[in-house]
Amino acid sequence: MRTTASLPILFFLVFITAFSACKREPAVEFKRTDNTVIVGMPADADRLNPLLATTAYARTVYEQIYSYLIWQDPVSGEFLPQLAKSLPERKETADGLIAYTFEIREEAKWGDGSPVTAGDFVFTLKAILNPKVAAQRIRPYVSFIKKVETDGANPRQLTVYSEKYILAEEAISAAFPVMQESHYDPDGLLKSIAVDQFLQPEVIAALAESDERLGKFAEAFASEKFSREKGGVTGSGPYRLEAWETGQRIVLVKKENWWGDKLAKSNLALEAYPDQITYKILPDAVTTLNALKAEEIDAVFNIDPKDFVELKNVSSVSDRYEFASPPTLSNFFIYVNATNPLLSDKLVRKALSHAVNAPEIIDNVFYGLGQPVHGPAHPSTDYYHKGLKPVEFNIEKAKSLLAQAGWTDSDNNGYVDKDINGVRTELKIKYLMNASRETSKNLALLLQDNAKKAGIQIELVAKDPLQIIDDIKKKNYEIAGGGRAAPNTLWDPMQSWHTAGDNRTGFGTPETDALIEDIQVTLDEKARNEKYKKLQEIIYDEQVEIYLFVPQDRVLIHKRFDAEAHSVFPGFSVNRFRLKK
Amino acid sequence: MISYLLQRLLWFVPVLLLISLLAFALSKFAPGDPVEMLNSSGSAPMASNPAQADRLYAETASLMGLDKPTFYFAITSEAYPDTLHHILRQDRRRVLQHLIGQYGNWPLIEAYYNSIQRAERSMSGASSPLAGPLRDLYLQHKHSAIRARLDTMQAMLQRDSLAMTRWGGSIAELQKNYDAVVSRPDRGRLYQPDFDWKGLDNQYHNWLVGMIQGDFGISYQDGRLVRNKIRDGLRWTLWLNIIAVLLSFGLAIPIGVWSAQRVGGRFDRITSVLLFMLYSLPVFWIATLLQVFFTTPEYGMDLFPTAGLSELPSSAPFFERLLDQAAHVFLPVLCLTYGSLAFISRQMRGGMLQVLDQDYIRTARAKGLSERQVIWRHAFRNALFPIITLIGAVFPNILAGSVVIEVIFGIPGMGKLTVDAIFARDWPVVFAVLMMASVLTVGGLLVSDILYAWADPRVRFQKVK
Repeated sequence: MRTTASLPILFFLVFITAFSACKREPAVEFKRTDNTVIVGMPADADRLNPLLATTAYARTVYEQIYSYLIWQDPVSGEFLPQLAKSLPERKETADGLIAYTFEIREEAKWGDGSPVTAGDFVFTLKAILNPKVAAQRIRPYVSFIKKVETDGANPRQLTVYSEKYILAEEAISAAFPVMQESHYDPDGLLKSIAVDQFLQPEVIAALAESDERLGKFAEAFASEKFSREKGGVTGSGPYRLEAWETGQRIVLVKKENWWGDKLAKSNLALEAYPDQITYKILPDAVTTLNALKAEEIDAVFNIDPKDFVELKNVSSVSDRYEFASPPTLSNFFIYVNATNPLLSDKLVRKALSHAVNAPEIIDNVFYGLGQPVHGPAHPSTDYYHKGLKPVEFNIEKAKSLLAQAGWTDSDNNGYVDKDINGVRTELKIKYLMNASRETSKNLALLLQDNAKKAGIQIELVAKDPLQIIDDIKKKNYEIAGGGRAAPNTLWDPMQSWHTAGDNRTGFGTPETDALIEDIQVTLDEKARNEKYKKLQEIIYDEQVEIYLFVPQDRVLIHKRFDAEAHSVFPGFSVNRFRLKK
Repeated sequence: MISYLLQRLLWFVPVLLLISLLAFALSKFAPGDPVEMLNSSGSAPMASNPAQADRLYAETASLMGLDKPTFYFAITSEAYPDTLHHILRQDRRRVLQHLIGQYGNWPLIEAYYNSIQRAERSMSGASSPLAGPLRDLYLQHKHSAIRARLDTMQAMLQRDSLAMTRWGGSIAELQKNYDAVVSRPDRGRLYQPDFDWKGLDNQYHNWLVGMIQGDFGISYQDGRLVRNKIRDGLRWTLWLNIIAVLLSFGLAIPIGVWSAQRVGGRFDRITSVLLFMLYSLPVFWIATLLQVFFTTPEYGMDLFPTAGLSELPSSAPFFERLLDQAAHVFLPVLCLTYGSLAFISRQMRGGMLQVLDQDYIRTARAKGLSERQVIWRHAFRNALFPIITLIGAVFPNILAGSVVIEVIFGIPGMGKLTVDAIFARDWPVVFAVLMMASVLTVGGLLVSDILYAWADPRVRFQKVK
């Protein structure tokens, strides 16, 4: 029996060895030469109606189908006119509003050949502000628009009046694409309701209850036809939706004689080279690697850092793909709850910060794919404070800061302690970490190890990510891992840093609040940058968020295309992939 | 038999109702507020204006039907008001419930809650250092935490005379109302049971009625009809699983019978070892190995596509598409088949061995029947019992799909749909899948009961008199 049983095992081993022996040196010859780009995407888009879609995946797809008044070049960060003829004229009115005047290009056409007009912009705005439409995600972007005027003589011209606000111009022109009124509202349900009514939240809320046209429009607008069907999803962009097999792939085909082609030479915002773009959904990381090895995809992003580094040594991949790791528009940090008695002392927070070794975390946990930062602003921006340096890892400094704050190791147990209200208290801090992520656990262990050297005891508490968010919101935590988007355009610190915002650390004084409110309305770049820097200095001094790094994206692009990787999700602009001759 | 069937069918109703109730209740206790999850996807600026934030919340809650009472009735205590569901925000409602649980004096708690709102409104539009700790109060129910915030605000007011003149009044009122809550508890009311009838227009009723009418609602994630999402997922899962089930039963039954016939022989020994090995290999590992070996040129055998279900457009000729799809499903089907193949054939072999020892088989052989007749006509039918039990479990498995296989091979089937929905707290999808799985489980058990009776006429479902 023994010999019989070992036979199949032997057979299996021979089988495996035989396969390994089959490994051969690949000759660098591309499997495909066509002008179709296949993008590997880890998850499907939710829908392609740009006002209703909620995921970044959907956005990268619908950006090829629709166009915006103004478009931001992801490589240079510069704003360029797309549907608009030029960047808007900006004027301050007597009542303190800012008037932005746009003129839409006469060349701009919808899929059916009809011209894009100011009426289409007004329609898009109405659709966003209709309370029955689930556009809650975009509604705050347009909440500061007070008035919209169209020009009777020129149907392509419009003026938008907004409150004074640094993000207003970007939000009005580049946060949502323009949608075709005659296609998305064929019965003209919103046409006869004045846009002024939509701009007054109370008025439109009341109207939504009494006027059934708003509900009827919203229902049709949310239908599958306008969200995922060929012919139903249509815009003025270079591509049209050809097919969408849910969970498998989305196929976009270049429009013949697209209006922007003639202008593309002089305007980067209108470049569109591939004949077809296919988004292939690959939920599994290993499958994505295999698809790369089999050359089944042309571009992919957000590869696991470890795989990214290892793939560079796989010649079948490195011969065929360019590797790029642009910094992402986000940062990782550690929330420190300054309302907690243990951490309310700035010296303790600073000590903790000196006990965190960010470069070690980047190297050991993220394979070197990160860039240390000192604060919430993105290092690629003009207003990033270059005079501040990321807090250095320095155990001695941490110890002396603790001693200064009255924390010493009086009982020689390796951890510092202090008399608080007559009670000997050890400096023991709980760190909330995401239980489902390996990187989160590894990061926590490094954190714990280094803090111990400074005499700070860190207890690791693993929790479900949603539970962690909940705890942080309630300030029911001591320290916790976090991440946040950091724009490469203007930064509105209101939400995260104002005491009236979604402030999770207890940061803020009347002075910082005033500074933030001031930043919001300072349209002069130079003056604003100075204020940004001042705010960064205060945040740096408070250390309520210990900044670790800006993670770098991991992008692979097939070598048969000329393409540039950049920081904006997903790390490349697929419409600008140029087939090499 | 008929009456037994009817009885079983009648039992379906309470069982399914109970499952639906359990699922619904569990979803209410899961962390994460679906409204907030939907609203906070993407980065929206300016949501710090409290009136606007509340309006956005209310609009989303209403679109999702979450502004209705949860259930037909609530059995609580006298201390809980029957209007608590009007407070839409899940996190704030929970804090109020905690406060009621501690003090029992709703009118005072309500006054306290209203004074937070009044104070917040008085600060909107102007910068106030008090706004932070004030907004924290919405989320705090512990006395020490509330006390700490109130003290912080007091200290701020003492330092800042301008703030004192502007907001001193509303903070003093807040303080007074909170002191009243703490100093005049009415815990007695907590022990007086109360029954609140909430009416038929509640979340559970609306969902249940929709479900019975075949309307499973709308997915929170992408706004699609749940019915359509399930239809899409089911199409691929059924396709794959039916092939896999037919293959595994079709191969396992003859293998089981043959090895039982030749017990201890070479065929039996080899299949036993091979099948046990197969059975013990984890599917995620085999799937990944197969993918590495057979879908990339790394080992010179780029025979199959890596993932997905087809590369051809729907306009391609039928046979071309069929071939393309067959190439795509080959490896997933292989992975779905091999594990159950081993298990089923072992069961079949065991069942057969037991039967072959019986006297009537010896009798059949003694009568001079051919071996073929003995095995397939006399023994096989009686050895089917364990297989029938397995068939009962097949139905829900066919529907449920295999998450691992689906994720690895990029197949948008039921398994992936369900897991994604659970992680996204997309309850309409989760409930619909769960109810379908329950119906099939109960139905599958019924089918196996019927098959028992068919396989063995001795099985009777009437009560023994």
